[in-house]
Amino acid sequence: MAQASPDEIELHKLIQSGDDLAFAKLCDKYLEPTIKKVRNFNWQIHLSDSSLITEVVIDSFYGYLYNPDKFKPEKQTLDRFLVIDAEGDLKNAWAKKKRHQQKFEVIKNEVEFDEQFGNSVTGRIRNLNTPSQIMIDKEADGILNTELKKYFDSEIDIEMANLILAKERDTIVYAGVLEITHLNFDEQQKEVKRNKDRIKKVLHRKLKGKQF
Amino acid sequence: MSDKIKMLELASDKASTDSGFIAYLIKKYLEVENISEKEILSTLHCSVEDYYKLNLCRVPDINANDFVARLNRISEYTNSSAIELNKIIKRANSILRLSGSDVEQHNYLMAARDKQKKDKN
Repeated sequence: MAQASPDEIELHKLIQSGDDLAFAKLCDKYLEPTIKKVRNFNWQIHLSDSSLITEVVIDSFYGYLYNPDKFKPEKQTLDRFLVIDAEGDLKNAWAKKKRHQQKFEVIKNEVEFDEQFGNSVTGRIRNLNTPSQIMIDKEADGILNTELKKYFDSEIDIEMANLILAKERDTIVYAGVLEITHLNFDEQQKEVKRNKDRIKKVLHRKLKGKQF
Repeated sequence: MSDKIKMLELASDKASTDSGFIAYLIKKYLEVENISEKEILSTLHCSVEDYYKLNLCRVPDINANDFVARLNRISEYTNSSAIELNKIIKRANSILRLSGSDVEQHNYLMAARDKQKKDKN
């Protein structure tokens, strides 16, 4: 197993001791070669998002600076550690990005999807209750609401749009949002349908094929 | 601009959010003095690459006994003017102290009052 060279050990010690020049020296010597190696090993990601690898490698350099003990000079070279560490972070960042994209793909498709085929957004996506998934969901909801506010003036319309995107089918729920629960059921159905059709038209026109 | 310089620039952008880096002080200095990076580069007499390396250096403590030695080491490594760097670090520190939180300002004023009292006695 390759061990760190004397120069690498010296630099690592500078990082550990919080030396004023240590991080500048690390970036000067290793940042460009590390980014290029990670790009070469992950060229598909690089083609899909040219800035992601650079961002992740820079973040992983800071990760090493703030937690230098994760590098074990007796087990590997600094050069190799930096590449492996960045690749681990890249894998996570790429998976997160994919999940994010997937979520909006589903929302986009749901808008185009006829209601009768069912399968709600909440049912399909939110069954993953991991902390990272919850975070992504919250962020996605925020982005979606910001987007909806561009197309609808009233809070009622935005809430209706959210329900439509979530494939809510219960007339009572829509009637509650529209505040027409005092009407008889036939009138509620008629009014709900009229409003849903109007909102669906806007959603279809504005969100179709949209990338967030 | 070479790939390496672009990468160092991106790394220093991130450093400018951490008060432990010179990048943070330089950013504050540029904002308050309303000058461009081009101007500061000419003031420091260093290359673009050295400027970003300077940004990635840790800030030496101006109150430490070894401040001058550390400043000279940074200046030598980044081929920049030690005199100008000294001015920038001290000016940026004053800016930060004056624009600090109420608690920091309060502590600073308390220390100043204490010093005044001691001088009188």
